[in-house]
Amino acid sequence: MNLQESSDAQLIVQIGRYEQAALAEAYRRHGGSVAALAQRLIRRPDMAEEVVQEIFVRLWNSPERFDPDRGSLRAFLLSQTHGRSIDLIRSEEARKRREERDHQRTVDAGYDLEHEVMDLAVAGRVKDALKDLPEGERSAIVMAYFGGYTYREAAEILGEPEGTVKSRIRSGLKNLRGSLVDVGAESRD
Amino acid sequence: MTDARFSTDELDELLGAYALDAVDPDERQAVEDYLRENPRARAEVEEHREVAAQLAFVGGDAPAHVWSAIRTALDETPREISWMPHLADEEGDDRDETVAPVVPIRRGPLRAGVGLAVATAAAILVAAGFAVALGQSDDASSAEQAIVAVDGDPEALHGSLVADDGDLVVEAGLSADGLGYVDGSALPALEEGRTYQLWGVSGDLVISLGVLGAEPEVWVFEAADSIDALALTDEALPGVVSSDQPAVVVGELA
Repeated sequence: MNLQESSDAQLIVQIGRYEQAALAEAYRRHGGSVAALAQRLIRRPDMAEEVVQEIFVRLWNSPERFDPDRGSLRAFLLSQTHGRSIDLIRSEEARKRREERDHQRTVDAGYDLEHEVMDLAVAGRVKDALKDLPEGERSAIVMAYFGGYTYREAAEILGEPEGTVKSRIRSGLKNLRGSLVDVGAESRD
Repeated sequence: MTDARFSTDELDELLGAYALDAVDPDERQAVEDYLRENPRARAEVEEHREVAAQLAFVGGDAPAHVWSAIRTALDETPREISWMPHLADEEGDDRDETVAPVVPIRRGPLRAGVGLAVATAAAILVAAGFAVALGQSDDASSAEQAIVAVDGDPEALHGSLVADDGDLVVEAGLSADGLGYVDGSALPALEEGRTYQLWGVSGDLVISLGVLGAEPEVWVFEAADSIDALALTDEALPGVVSSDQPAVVVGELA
């Protein structure tokens, strides 16, 4: 089997048969995005690389956790990466760093850094779709996804009710999905 | 069971934040309980995660030095899969609870253990008795040659893989050298998009031995001599890592 021409689902089957070459191909395809997201979120190269390693070792150990019927491999890996990165960010050490960082900025400037990260990370048409969202939805998503804040923390920083931010994250993701489908971004894989 | 502290509407409202890892631990647990019971909510979370993946996407190559670290970690890490073919009804329906530890297999010469240069970890020693197996007959002559070779080996193992109702019987053999065959000619052809998949069991270990295709024929495979049992399942192409399908046929080798 030519792994470079294999679908992600076929790669997963090969990984299940202990084919390191299949894992290497999955890494070649998605390792760059995984590494970039981890680094954007954690902002420490050494810790980000540990996350990348952990994500792919986890895929090797438990490939059955990926269900191709429920989404793309990239979405699965990036979701895992985001979750693990957020866990690290929320760890005590990272919390201290964050508290020091937060101390230096005002509530009004609450998500400037997250906007900066977003600008670096998001592909052009996706960024356009994000900009088309109502400001409240965009802010909530950016704070939660790129800032690593819970919706409660984001609500506090944004000065909005928790329920409002929670709802805006959900409605914003739905609206974003609609926009991305319109521009065909979701079919990139 | 869904957490009684949260209404369905409240849990639905949390799905977006949950997909972005932006909920507190107690809410996370409540949503995960909810998702187990609600396929619509699961689908919504997957959609949110697809959107999030678009947000996260950036170009760039995967860092090569991290791959080196990953490869090293693979050599040190046994893995578990959660499926094991049933050998007999009387063993009870415990498949969902069974976790069969499977260790990474190192490619090498066919004979078990010969090619294993590293043998320090216990898990690797287990692997040495369970060399990887795969392969399908390229043509009828190779299948015939395999049958002759196996049947001519006085140390070969043989077995009948039998369906639950006893209507289907598939003969299989495995030589001491690790050459095996499964005579699937009595099996029904599968529908388009389906394939037979062969599984081998050795003690508590289980591994996929190959995706065999939809057409009944004599399949040839390679394995170590420590396989205790074989099973065939009917899977969607391109095959699966772990199966939740009942075995079409299953039987022990002796």
